[in-house]
Amino acid sequence: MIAAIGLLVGVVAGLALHPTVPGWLENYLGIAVVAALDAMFGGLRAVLDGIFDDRVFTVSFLSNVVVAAMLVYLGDHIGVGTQLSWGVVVVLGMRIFANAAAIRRHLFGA
Amino acid sequence: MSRDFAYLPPNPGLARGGAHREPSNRPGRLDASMSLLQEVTDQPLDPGYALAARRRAVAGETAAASPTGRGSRAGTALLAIILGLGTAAAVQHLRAPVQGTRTVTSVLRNEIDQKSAAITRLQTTNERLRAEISRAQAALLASNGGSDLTARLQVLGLVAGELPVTGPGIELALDDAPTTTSGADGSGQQTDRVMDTDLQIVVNGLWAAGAEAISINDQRLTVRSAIRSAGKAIMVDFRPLAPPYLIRALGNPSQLQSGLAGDVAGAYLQSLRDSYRITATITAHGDLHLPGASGEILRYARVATTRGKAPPSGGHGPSRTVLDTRGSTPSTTAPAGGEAGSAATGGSSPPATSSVPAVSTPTSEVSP
Repeated sequence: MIAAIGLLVGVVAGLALHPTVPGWLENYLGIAVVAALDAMFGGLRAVLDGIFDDRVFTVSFLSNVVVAAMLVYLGDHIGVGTQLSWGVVVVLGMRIFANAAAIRRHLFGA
Repeated sequence: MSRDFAYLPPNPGLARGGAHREPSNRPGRLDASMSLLQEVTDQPLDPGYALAARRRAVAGETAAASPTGRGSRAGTALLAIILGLGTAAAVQHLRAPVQGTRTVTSVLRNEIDQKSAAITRLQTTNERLRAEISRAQAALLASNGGSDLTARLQVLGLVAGELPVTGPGIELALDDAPTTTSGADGSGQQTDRVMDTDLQIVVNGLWAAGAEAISINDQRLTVRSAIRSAGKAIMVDFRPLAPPYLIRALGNPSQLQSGLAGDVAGAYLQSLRDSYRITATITAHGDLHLPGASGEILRYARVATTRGKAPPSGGHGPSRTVLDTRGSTPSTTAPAGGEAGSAATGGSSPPATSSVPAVSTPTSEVSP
């Protein structure tokens, strides 16, 4: 629960403070946001499954974002950045869909 | 491989979808890498959640109350705040370009609005100043030369189109044809529009029919007016007009109407109506008001010196003017000017005086 509250506080602070993003990070923001979405859906599903854990949620969030961005960064440097980001998006997208389906089943029973 | 594809998860929870499965429940497979996609879809939830839940179950409820638990909770909260901040910043940054274009559009729209307002403001100022000028001029003339000068000024202003005029006349409204959609793709939305040539022909017809003053959409036409198009807009004296085009012409209404009908312009109007469904309606008015034209400044044309051979009087036309082309050709008909011009070009140029287009209007009223 504390992780969700912290996340909310962080989002509100980010919206209010308008922090500037360093230029070299720009290329990886999109993929990082997709990874964050994946972690959020996973956390929501865990809440509904009754096994939510603050630490796991936060750590998985962080590692998701970092690993996704790092993969693309690495890909950029070895010339397969676009392909790797496609791969990351596909995998994360499938996970998001699967988790969203589970959440839907939990909430609507269908 | 076929066994791999035939693999079904042993957990019946998949059908109901709610239960969480653990990797340890799976049977071993021959080729683990082939089941990559299955891994992704079967196990979208981080296994850490299950592990943590199992650990909690083993340790009981004491873990939450332990000091290390509290410390890790604070760290978790801090990390969550940082992550939320970063995510919000990233999302905002990603959305920024869209907002940028939107602001550019709104900035441009604002600028257009502001400039239009400024134009209107300046026009009203101009109007007021011109009224002031004419008042002062009238006062000055009345104190100096008397009423005949004022009357002459009024006549000249009237003919030049600088003064607002009023009188009987006709009003001709031209409008684009109603919009028709042609083409299955929807892009063929077509409107037959009024063209600048249409207005030119109609205006010429009205002049020919004896109109004494003409305005289009309250834009007074003078001898120096131009009707042309820029893109889709028709411009009169470089001011864009919007349809419908309201042409007002002062003159004898019945004479104007019959003259227009008998002219080429009348047939042209009829063909516009028939072929392009452009609406053209003519109404006679007993009292029409036409504004004066603005900015009638002659930069190059000057009054030519008439050497004592003033032609017989007639009409109210402006004094004899010579078009000064500002080129190498001499610009006056005066002998001295001609000599100076030929001297400047070395004398080898053809006789310049014959090539000068001299617009001479007979006048005796306004000689200097």
